[in-house]
Amino acid sequence: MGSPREVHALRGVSLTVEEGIVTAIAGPSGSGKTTLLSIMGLLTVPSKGRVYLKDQEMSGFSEIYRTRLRREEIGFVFQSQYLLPHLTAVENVALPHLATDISISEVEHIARDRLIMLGMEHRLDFKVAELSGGEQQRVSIARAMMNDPTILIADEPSSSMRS
Amino acid sequence: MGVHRHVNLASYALGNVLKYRVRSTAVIVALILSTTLLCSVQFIHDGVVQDVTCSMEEGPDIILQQLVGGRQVPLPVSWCDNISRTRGVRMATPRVWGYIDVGSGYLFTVMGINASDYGSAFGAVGTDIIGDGRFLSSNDTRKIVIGQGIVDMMAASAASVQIHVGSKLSLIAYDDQLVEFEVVGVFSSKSKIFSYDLIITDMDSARRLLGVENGTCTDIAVWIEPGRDLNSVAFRLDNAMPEARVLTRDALRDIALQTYGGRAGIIDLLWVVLVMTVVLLAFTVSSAGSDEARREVGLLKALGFDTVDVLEIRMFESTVLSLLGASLGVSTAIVYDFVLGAPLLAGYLLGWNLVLLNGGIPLLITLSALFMVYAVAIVPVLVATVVPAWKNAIAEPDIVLRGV
Repeated sequence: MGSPREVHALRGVSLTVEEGIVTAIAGPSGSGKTTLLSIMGLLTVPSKGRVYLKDQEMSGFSEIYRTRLRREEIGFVFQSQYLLPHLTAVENVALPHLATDISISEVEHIARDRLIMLGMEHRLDFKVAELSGGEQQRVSIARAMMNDPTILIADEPSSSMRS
Repeated sequence: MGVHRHVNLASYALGNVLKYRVRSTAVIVALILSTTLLCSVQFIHDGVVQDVTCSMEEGPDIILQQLVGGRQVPLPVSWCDNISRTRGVRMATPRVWGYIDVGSGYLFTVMGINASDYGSAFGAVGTDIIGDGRFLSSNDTRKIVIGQGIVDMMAASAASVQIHVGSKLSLIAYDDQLVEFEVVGVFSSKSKIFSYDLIITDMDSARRLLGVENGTCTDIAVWIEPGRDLNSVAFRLDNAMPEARVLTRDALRDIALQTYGGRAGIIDLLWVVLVMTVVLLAFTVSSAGSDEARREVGLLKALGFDTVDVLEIRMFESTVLSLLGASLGVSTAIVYDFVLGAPLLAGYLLGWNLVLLNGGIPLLITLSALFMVYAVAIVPVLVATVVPAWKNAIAEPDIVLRGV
């Protein structure tokens, strides 16, 4: 029971993802998939319950530590991509590594490699607004892979791509 | 935290400044306008204060005048005896002074003094003689000592008159007669008001030029004994001579500053309005109300940027904008004041007194003024951009991204 405006996005969810396993989560719209992924990606703290990453319980840790984990261990592909429109494809992909002690030239080199892996070699220096929906999604995926994450979380990663 | 990280963040911040051109240009232009006005006024104000202060240091400790019906009138030279006997007074000497036209459109101040008395006043204006000249002696007649600024001004004039020790200079007396003088010395002064304006001669010659009766003088200059309290001596003189107006050096300084700086307050008010405009502008175009900017912060946090990283980016952005705007404003003010002579502004600030400043408006750039300008330019913009960014940075990234 809660106030009239309170929404229970998730209730009674328990999920274990094994290392090396690809896990898909399916459900109707509004069922709480994005909320679950946000909790798993340490983007939000659950109201109740616990989150474990590599057998370590996350709820007791500070925001600074969880930020570090997002930077070093987790790659997130957002449902809305959240690309910065004033940056090029390479610059968007390079973003996660700007907060590290890697030189900017090396960061851009890694970013270009990631984009070329996803077939974006001819669109590297185009602004996001100049890319198609599918290309933007590939940029988003490349960005999530920049830090060689332990866990890669993708929220509807292929929604803009051709089947 | 390594160097590369800071370089990366600075590079990203600089990229934001360059990419959001309209926003950046608006903040910079607003800063240029406000700091130009502030600096222009401040340079003039500081220059006037310094010039007035220097002129006071080279003047007497106390001046006595006689007022009748609120107007200054000549006073008897015999007052000097009474004044000299007052406790604390080292020397009281009469002065005859007024304004004369040298025929070139320039008005100069002529001051007639008792050379033996005046010459013994250490540091008094006119006694610091340059080169091979000399100060007046007690038996000099129709001899003058002039400021170095007058020499420079005459040399730079259209007629290019070269004045040096031994030159003859004709001055127009009150009855339109020409009176010839010989230059015996050129003095230096820290004050432009003196250097570009003052001609010193003996009392009789000054009376001839200005039509002042024998036995009277314009005022009496008083120097007090070392270690005496100036206000106490002034008080004694005021009590002893109720018909006189007694002005101490501090009072003279205040009067001079009011004369030259009376209108600066209005400009200060305008500056406050402009700074407020800058703050509002910075706030509205910064992270505060912009959904895009808020999502940017949320995204950076989601990608692993610490709150400190986000704040460093915003601080760098605002500091670059502020430094650039303030520096351009200071540079513009320097050109406006020093090169162009502060047209319109100098006339407004100084009024009719501008006409009397033969050497142009005194200008001064001080470190404290520059510090104040940069602090005022940087701090409000910094606060206006960093505070909203901090609010977004400490929120959960998911909430910020969704715009809840």
